[in-house]
Amino acid sequence: MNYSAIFSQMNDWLKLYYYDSGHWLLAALAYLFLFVSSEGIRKKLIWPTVMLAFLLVNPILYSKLYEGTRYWRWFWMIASAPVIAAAFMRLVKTSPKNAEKLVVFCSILVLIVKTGSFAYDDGSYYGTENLYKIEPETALVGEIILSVEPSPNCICPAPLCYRIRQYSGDIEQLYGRDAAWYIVEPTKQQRDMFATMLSKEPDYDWILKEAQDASCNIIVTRKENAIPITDLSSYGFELAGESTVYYIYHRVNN
Amino acid sequence: MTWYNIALSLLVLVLFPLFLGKGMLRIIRYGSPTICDLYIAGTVSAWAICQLLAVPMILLKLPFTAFEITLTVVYLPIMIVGIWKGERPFLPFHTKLDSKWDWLFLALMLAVFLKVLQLLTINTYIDDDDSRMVVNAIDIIRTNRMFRTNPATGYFMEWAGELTRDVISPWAAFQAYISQMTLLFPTIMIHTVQPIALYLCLFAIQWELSRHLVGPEIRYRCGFCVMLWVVILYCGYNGWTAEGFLLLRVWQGKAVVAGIGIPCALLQMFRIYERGNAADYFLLAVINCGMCLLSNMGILFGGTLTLVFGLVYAVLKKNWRTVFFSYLTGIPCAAYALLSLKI
Repeated sequence: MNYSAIFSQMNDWLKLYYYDSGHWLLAALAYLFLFVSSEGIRKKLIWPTVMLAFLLVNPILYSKLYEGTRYWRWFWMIASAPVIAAAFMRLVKTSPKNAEKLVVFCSILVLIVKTGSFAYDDGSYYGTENLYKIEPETALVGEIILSVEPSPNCICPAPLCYRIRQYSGDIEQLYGRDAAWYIVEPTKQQRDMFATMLSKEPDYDWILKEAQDASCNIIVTRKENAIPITDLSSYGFELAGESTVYYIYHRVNN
Repeated sequence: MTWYNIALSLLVLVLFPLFLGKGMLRIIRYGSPTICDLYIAGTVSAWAICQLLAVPMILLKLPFTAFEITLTVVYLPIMIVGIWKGERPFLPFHTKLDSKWDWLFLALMLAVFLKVLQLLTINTYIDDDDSRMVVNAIDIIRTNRMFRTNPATGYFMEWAGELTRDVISPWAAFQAYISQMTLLFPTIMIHTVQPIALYLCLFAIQWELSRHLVGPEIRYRCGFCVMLWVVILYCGYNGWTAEGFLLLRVWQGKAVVAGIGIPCALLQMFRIYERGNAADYFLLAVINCGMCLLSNMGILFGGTLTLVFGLVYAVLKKNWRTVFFSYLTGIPCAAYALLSLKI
C-alpha cells in the first residue's frame, strides 16, 4: 500500500473542505473547549466525533472504502457550526453578571461579522427575479418556444440545455446535461451535436440535417452564432423569436 | 402564485407535518413533545413513509397516481390521530419566560430566523444538478411514470446511470407529490416554497439541539440559535461544506441530508443517550428511513452515525442493549444499501 500517495489524495480532498477558511481551526478549538468544560457534551458528542474522525482520516479505510467516492462529503457527519456556536455560548455563560454576559455575547457576534465574509456576497447568488428561481433568460426562451410549438423537440446550446426543462417539462430536447457526461452516457450524436453547438463557427448545414433526422423542430442559438438565412429556408426553419442572448428558430416546413 | 396556492402550501408544508408528527408521537407514546418536536417528527415521518411506499412502487413500475393515492391514504389516519388525540403542545418550550432577558433574546432569535428566511427568498442560486433533480419531479407529474424518463431530454428511458440512485432514494417523487398537493409547478414548489418549510424544520432542530448543547435556560438557547446563524453566514463555509450546501441548494436531497438530516439524527442520538426508551429508538429508525429517501448519502450517513454513536454510547454507558437497539434502527439503511447494489 502506497501510504504516501493515499495521504496525498486525502490531503487534496481535505483542502477542498477545510483549508480555505479558518472555520476548521475555530471548530477544533471549540471541540477542545467543550471537551474540557462539559462532561455531558464530551460523552454525547465529542467521543463519537473522535471515533468518526478516526474512521474518516484513516488511510486503510480510505483505500478500501472512500477512494472513488466524494471523500469530502463524509465530513458532513462531523458537526462544525453548532459546536462553534455552543462553545461561544458556554464562554458567555462563564461571565458572572448579566451585563457582562451581554457584552461578551455582542463582542463575539461583532468579531465574527467583522472578521468573516458574508456568505451571500461570494458571487454565487443572483437576485430572485421569478418564482421558478431560474434565469429570466431561460424562462423567456421557454416561453417563446412554447408559444410557437406545443410539442417542442429542441436543440439548445449549453448551459441553456441544462436549465430549459426546469421551465417546462413539455420541452423535450435532443440532449441536455447527459451530453456533458452526467445522468446517463450520451450517444455519439448527442456528444457531437453538443460540441458543435458550442463551437465558435457551428456547421449549421450538418446541425440542420441532424435536426431534421431527429425530428427536432426548435433550434436555439446564441446571437453571435446566428443561422445563415439560406440554410434556414432550405431546411424549413424560420426565426420565431429572440431573447437578449438567443435566437429561437422553428421548423415550419418538413 | 394565487391565494389558494399559498393556503395549500401552509396546509401541506406546515399543518400537515405538525399533525402527522402529533399522530406519530401519540402512537409511539413519545411523552410530552413540544411543537418543535411535532414538526420535526412529522417531517421525518412523512419522508420515512414515502420511502417505504415509493421504492417498491417504483420497482413495480406503478403509475405515479397510484403512489399519490396510496401515500395520502397512509398519511391520513396518522394525521387524524394527531388532530383528535393527545395534548395540545403549542409551546416551543416547557418553561415560562419570566425574565426580560428571555424575552429580549427570544425576539432577537425570531428576528434572525426571519432575516435568514428573507435571505433565502431573495437570493437565487443556479445549480446544474437541478437538470436531474428538479426535472425528475416535473417528468414524474408530466408522464405519470416514476424515474422512467431521461430528465435531460424528456424521452422515455429505463433505469440507467444516475437514475438508478433516484430509484432507491426517490426524493423527487416526494417533491412531485408535494407539488401536486399544493397545485404548484414543481420548479416553483422546489426552489421557492419547500426551502422555507425545510428551514422551519431546521430552526426546530436547532432549537431542540440548543438544550443539549447550552442547557435549558431560554436566553442561552436563543443566544445559541443566533450565534449559530452568524457562524453559518460569516465563518467562510464554502460550497463543499454542509453549511454551504444548506445555504446554496437546500432543496436538493443531499443538501437536506447534510444540513437537516444529520443534525436531526444527532439530536435523536442525544435523546437516546439521555433517555433511551423504545419511542426514542423508534423515532431514530424513522429518521434513518427518512434519510434514505433524500439521497444515497442519507443511506450511508444515517447508517454510519447509528453504528458509531450506538457503539460509543454502549461503551460509555456500559450498556450493550444500546448497541443492539441502535443497530436495529439502522436496518432501513442496511436494507436500502443492499438494494442499491442489486439495481
